[in-house]
Amino acid sequence: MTRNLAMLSNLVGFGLTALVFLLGGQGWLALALFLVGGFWLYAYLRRLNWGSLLGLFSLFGFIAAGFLMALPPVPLFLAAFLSLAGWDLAGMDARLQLADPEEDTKPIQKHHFLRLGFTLMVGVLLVGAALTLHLRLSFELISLLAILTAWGLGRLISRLLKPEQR
Amino acid sequence: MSRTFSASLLAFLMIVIGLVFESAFVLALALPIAVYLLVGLWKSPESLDLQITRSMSAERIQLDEEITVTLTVVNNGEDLDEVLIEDLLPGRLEVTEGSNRRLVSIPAGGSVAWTYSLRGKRGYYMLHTVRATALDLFGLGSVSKLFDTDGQLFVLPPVLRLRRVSIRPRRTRVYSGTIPARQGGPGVEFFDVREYQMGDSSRSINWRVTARHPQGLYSNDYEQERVVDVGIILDGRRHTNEFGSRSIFEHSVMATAALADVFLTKGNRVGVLFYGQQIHWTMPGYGKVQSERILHDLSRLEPGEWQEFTELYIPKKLFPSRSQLVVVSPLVPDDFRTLAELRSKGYAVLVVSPDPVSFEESRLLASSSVKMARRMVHMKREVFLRRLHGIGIQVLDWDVSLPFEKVAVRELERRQPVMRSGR
Repeated sequence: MTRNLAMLSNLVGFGLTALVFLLGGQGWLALALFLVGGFWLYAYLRRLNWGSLLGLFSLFGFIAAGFLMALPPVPLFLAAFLSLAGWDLAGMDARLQLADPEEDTKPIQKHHFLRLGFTLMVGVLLVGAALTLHLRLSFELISLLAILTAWGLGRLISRLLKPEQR
Repeated sequence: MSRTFSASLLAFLMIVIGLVFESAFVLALALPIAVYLLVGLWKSPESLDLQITRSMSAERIQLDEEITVTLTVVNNGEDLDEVLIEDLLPGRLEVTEGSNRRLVSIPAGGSVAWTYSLRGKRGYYMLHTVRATALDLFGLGSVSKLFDTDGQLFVLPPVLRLRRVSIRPRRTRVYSGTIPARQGGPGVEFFDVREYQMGDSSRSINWRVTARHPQGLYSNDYEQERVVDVGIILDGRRHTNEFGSRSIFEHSVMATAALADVFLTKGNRVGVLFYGQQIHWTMPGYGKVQSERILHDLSRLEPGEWQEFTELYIPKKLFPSRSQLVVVSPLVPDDFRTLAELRSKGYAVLVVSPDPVSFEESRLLASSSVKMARRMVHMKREVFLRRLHGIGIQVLDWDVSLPFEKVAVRELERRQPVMRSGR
């Protein structure tokens, strides 16, 4: 189930982004997305480790490009969330491969889906809030805040990671 | 690249691109990733405080037998959302039922137990490490730890039951047994005729001889049967046992186990000398305990090569002179000198030689050139074995495609003629 969901999330993410590009008159980019999506699918079906990472980075790259081309943001954000979910589920699927095939991993999967759903919902709310609440800030201040955010995020991750994981 | 690093890198990239191109949307793309990272790492496990115990249905099994292993894991620490527990097994053990690893979630104070079945090739295995890897639900942070557990497993070689092996060493021990001792006394087999002595049973009087010599009374003397010292020498030299990826050594071990068993069953004192990568000496002893000791030692042995032992080497101090030696070896022509030396020292020598020619041939295609080569090598071996036989060494040439017990019944159970000379 996890595997199928991961594949579905990524395929819908790729498809949605390609559709947005196609409707926005960027046929070549849509074609490139299809090709990357196909390549991702091949890597995923062959269980190549880097496959899911390729899906995440490439799709986020295309989505960022879509934003810069002023394409409709809602489907692109939706594709970004699907891509993130696809990457996470692919990782979960890889970990499930380590378990005995006979083993009942449904409780772990269910727990995982719930937490992922919660996380994505918080993400949606935050993105929604960020895009609807318009504060008048100067670009310099925004830049400063963004740099502070990046630095703070880095510090936080470093703090949350245990010494042996760093 | 770790998942945490990948996600962080992506978030930073989105922030940088958003800043460079002054795009709030691209900046906002970093938000879901940041939330994902924070939620994942917030619940990542800090340490593993597990108590893992292993119980096994048996510590020693025969080849092809199975044991069940039960692992019990108690979590004395915090909740673990996802923990992969792997019982690290040596490569030659095979899981036949269930699995040696599990992916589970264990709440604080909770426990999990499961059972799986194992079997393996002959050997001695230490099962003493279990690895536990705990992850958060997103697989971002992980803690891995090795836990020591108790467990050892002997997979013993199969013991084929032989009825008897006919040997006649010159030296016997004082206890009565089944080996003819070349001395008159109580026994079964006729040995000699001597003058009647007080106490002799009237049934033992040889009336025919007495009739021919009327001046006295003569009675039959029987051959005493006693126990003997048997030294079994197992050849573990790699160059005599291994042929590419195949090894005839398992057959040698099987023959050694069967021979040790039959000699011990008949009450003899048996010791086993193994040499391959190193010398291993199982001190001589009697009975079932010795049989167990030998089987345990046999289960550990592996062929190896030590430069000193390119030739057959037998430390003669370990074996009393004129005792019985049994050499289990595929043999190479250079071994003749060593074996002849043993005979010259007065040892009674029995060579059990798993035939490497037929063993090697069994995996080759039957072409005319292979047949020709086989004939040549086989003739060379025949000549070598006949030379051994010529100097009074009892030889069992074992085609390993035939069961050892069948070959042994045919070749080893017959009574051996008395060797008049040690030479």
